[in-house]
Amino acid sequence: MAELLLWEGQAAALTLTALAAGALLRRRERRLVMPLWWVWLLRLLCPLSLPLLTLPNPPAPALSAAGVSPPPAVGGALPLIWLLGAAALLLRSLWRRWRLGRALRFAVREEEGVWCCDALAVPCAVGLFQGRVYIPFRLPEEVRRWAIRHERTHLRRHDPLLLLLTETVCALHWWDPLIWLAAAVLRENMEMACDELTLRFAGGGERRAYFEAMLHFAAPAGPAPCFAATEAERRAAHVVSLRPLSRRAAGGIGAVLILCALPCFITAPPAPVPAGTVRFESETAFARAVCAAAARSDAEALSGMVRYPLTIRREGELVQLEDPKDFLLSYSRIMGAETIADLCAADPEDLFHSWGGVMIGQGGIWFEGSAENGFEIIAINALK
Amino acid sequence: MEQARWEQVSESEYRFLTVLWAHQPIASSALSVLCQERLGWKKSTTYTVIKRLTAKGIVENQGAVVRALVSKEAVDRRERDALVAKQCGGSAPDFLAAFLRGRPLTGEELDRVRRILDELEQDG
Repeated sequence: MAELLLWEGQAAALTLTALAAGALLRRRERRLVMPLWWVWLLRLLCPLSLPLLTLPNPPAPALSAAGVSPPPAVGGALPLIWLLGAAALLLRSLWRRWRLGRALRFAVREEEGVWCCDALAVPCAVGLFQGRVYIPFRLPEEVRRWAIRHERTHLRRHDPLLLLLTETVCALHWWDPLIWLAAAVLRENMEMACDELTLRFAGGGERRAYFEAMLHFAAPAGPAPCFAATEAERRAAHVVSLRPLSRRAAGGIGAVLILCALPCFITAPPAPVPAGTVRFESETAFARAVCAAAARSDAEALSGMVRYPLTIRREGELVQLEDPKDFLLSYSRIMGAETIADLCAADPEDLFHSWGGVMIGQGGIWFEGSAENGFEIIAINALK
Repeated sequence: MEQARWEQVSESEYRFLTVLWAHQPIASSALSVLCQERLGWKKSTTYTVIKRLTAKGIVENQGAVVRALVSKEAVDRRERDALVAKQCGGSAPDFLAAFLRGRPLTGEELDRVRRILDELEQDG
């Protein structure tokens, strides 16, 4: 859970950096922000981090201090809900693309890489690697020229791939509204970057022609008052107010942005493994060891398997155990007959998992951890 | 009766007919090869279009030989009389790299964009 939040937090930090960069580069070239967006996508698609730097260990979590049973089965439903949402969105994504493919079947090739299609109202660039430009039939010559140039720029910049990755990220992180917001900003940045590049060597008159061509596809709708600037306005305003940067300045800014993004690859620290801990290769192995130790009343062994401080509730009172010595002193009070019986009867292969940890048997003992970092008992409950 | 058919012929189908008129009557397999060269169509696409146009009564496919049932002149005449091309515009979905996404603009919004563009011309 902590790793998940860290992951989302890093993405949020990257998003804010990208938004800030966009704001700072208001009158400058937005395409400089695009590498940052690629980093954002990479970060969100890849749950692992590069161990560039690990954070110092946080203090022992308060979870084990509660002494009451870890959260009930609802916690176990969350991963399933996520999976359903992600699967639904990914399927929708695939379906839309398939439907587009069907519509584009009857497109006719006009020239190398340019196809005309009845089904499209607006020119599009389609295809991840060997892309094609699709335009409607019968476009006026000027419009056609600019549309093709714009779409070809999209293809050169691998924008269809960018969009596919963005959709995937949104599907995987569907529950995080910041991601959707960021995706919208990403798309607008992408379009502005494309405008900038297409118009790089164009004079004022040509720029006007470009936008007139674009407006050809903004057919007038009915009277619908809207006070927000439309996409066309924003893009036109951006190009109008653009003051190009020198190459060196652009390179410098790009480098700074990437550097700002690096902290987002920091890993969460591994849980500390106390010296002398026996390593177990799996949860089952650990559970088996716990049950075996309980069965032969091996208090010493059990005391070494616990995460301290351990707060337990026994007969209505809270007891705090600071270290193995406390555990040994209170052993008979902690491990009641029912708890031990439950552990003996428990099947180490059949462990219940929830957000709180892993449960052995009917809930007398909960533990957490991993084979790499070691396992620890985090709660012991008296069973009636 | 001929009139009714034209409304249903899309531009892609018209291009297909252009190929057909130049070479008819022609075996469907040879036709699909031609469509591959001229239009960039896969074989399956050509066969689908032949089937569609046969159903509409515009084309005939007897014993794998294809023939058009209407003449080029009739269609050209109709094209000239046709109404203005269907509206270009409407939104492109957000998963595509399109020239312009977003909803169609109102007259007022178009004016606003044009005013911004006027500045462009002044810059030269």
